[in-house]
Amino acid sequence: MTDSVSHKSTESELEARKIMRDTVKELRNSEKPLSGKKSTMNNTLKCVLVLALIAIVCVSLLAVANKFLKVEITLDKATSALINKIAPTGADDDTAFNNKYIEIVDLSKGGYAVTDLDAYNKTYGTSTQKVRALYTSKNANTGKVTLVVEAEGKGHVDAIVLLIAYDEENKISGVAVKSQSESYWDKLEGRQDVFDAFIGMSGNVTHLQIATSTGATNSLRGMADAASIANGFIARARGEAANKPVEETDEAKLSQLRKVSDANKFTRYTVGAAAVANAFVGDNGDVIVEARGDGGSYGKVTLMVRTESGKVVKVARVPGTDSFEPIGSHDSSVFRNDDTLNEIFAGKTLQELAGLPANGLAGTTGVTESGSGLIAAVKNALEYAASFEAETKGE
Amino acid sequence: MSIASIITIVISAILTDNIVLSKTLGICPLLGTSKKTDSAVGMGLAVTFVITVSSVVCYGLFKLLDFWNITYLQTIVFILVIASLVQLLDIVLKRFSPTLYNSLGIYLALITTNCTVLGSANMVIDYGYNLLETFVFGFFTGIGFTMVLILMSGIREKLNRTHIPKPFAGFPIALIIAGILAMAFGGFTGFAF
Amino acid sequence: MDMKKFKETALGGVLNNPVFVLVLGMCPTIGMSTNVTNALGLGLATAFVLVFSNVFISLLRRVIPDKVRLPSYIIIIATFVTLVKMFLEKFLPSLNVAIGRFIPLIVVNCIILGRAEAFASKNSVGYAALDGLSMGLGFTCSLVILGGVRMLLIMAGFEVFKTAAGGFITLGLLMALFNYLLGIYRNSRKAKLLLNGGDAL
Repeated sequence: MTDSVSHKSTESELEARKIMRDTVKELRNSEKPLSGKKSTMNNTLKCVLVLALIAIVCVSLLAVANKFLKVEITLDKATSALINKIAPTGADDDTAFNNKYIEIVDLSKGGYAVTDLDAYNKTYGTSTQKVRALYTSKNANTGKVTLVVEAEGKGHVDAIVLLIAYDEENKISGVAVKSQSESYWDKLEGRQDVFDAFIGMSGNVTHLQIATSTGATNSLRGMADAASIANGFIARARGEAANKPVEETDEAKLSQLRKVSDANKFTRYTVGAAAVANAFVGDNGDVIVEARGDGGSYGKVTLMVRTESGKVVKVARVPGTDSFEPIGSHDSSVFRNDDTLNEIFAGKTLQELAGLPANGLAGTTGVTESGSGLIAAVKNALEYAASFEAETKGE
Repeated sequence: MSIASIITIVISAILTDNIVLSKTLGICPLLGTSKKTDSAVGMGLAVTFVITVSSVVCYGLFKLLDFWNITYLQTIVFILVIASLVQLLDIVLKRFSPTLYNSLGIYLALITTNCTVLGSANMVIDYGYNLLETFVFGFFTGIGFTMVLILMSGIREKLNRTHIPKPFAGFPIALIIAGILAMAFGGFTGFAF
Repeated sequence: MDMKKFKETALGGVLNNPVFVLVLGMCPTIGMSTNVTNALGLGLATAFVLVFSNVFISLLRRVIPDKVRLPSYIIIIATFVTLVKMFLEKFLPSLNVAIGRFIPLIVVNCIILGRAEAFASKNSVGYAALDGLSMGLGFTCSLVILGGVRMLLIMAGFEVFKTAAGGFITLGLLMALFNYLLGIYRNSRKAKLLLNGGDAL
């Protein structure tokens, strides 16, 4: 018995070896075709031609198949039931689905400021953070329509897909998980507080705002990323980005703004990109950009940056948006002090930013991630402010 | 990149998410080349090299595919890259380092159909790693593979000297050993983040 | 039609079972056999790729120069794998979540390139298709048997069989069982042969 088994293994091994050896030999031969006779050259030509032809046929076959088999997200019963939980239609799941109280929005038909989701994701998303679909949920009793965004972010293993419902002020009113394949999901199972933490959020979200020490930090990061891109999308889709400035009324936002500007009132221009959430103009003409910087997993931070003619005037950290956890001896919590930040960044231009050492801000070492996150946030703010000022001046 | 995230990748690639024992890839070479420690080391080193290089190359190519919106060609492009890389390596080694070729050569040829290589190239894309993370992930995935191969070969060399019931001889006992090893590695999951 | 060859090809999936006899394609076998649905899904996907790549490689066997046959086979196989992947993403998204990770790896499943090289490149289209079907179904059956056994064990409360470790051990035990049965079968045949030989004498 031993013989027969080991014999078979060597047979398959030998076969594989033989195949590979032959190929190597052939590759060798085909390497020097010019030195050979004319017939060898013809042979080589034939090889190349046939191979190219097969490749072309296969690739075009796939291109055609891709056209027809491209995944389009449609509303299925399970998704409808989930949406009914976070944006109640007032009817039971079956009725809501059958009577089309819940529907998927075809953005290309208009009605929303975003008409092409692919293009949107190319501009504002990344390969692992994107908006997948927009749904409407109509309440059978009140007739009120709630918008629900389906967005994904990358967790520990794979994409986590969230369904997020929004109120009229583009704040999150409900969150449900559509799909995930996380290995430590059991640590979040039944944690209603985690999902409740999302309620009322807008702009960029970090995992620390949702929950701390759950044992599933990477899953939280994925959910925060999904919520961030969805938050930006809902504002843009409702056409509040750039073309519809509104007065900022949120007390929390106002108190952050007052840290960098003396103005009394602020007008908000929603940007909704992952890098820049909002731009604000004070009634005294101050321009403030709410920008996020990513320095790897441990250096995410959102800053309020007041700028004037290409220079930073004042900076303030938006509390709860950084991931500056002290890791071992690498303590980046020094950056949680706004005075320290202003010492580093006030008066800096884009060029001067490039010269800052990510690993040596404020005399710190070993916190490269946090340093580059901060620098990236200020850079994003300055870059956006430049185009923003040009736009508003042009008008 | 911060040291912490790199360390996370290293630990998970070698221990907690070991490519063989946790992700169940690369089982054919595990069964085929773990009879002797020498061949286990040879196979492991060759695979480590190819995984590292192909992960980085495939990472770059995927950026291009993504830019042109033709990511559906991922599988074709990746496997062709791996196949050409393996053959290129074979030729280069044979010409410039016959000693190394003699120790690695046979194993090199088997690598194209080793699913750890294509598997980790795909994982790098799925996980959204950057270039440095890709490099580290590829290298330490290979190290994790090598380690399991060497562990297995040590046990199997000892087994040769013991009596094994006939139906279990050969692959069955090797699979059961791999299962026990996988259980032992499951203990490392406690370190996960 | 050559009856003997037909029979041999059709029974290839059993007598030369890819999993239990040739010991090929182990990775998806262990990774995706935690339940019958996943096992069936991946088995059928592999069978589909096997049949179609066999057919096309057989059709093109006179066109493809020997020198570039391996790259050609790889391209053809990868094309069908990508088609399967697209199909799953579109029509069976929930199955795709479960087994999607292993679909691209069908390309490097030794069974497929092995059958292309050993059979399809030397035989006519009909036989190549039959071989692909037989081998593919043989692979699917082994996967489903393994998946079924693991599912029963998990349902019986042995959580460990959900993990990779359980997969290795189940396959090891099943293979031992297969060897044991094969041993009995061979012995009985040997005895029969001896008996017949004795008669002839």
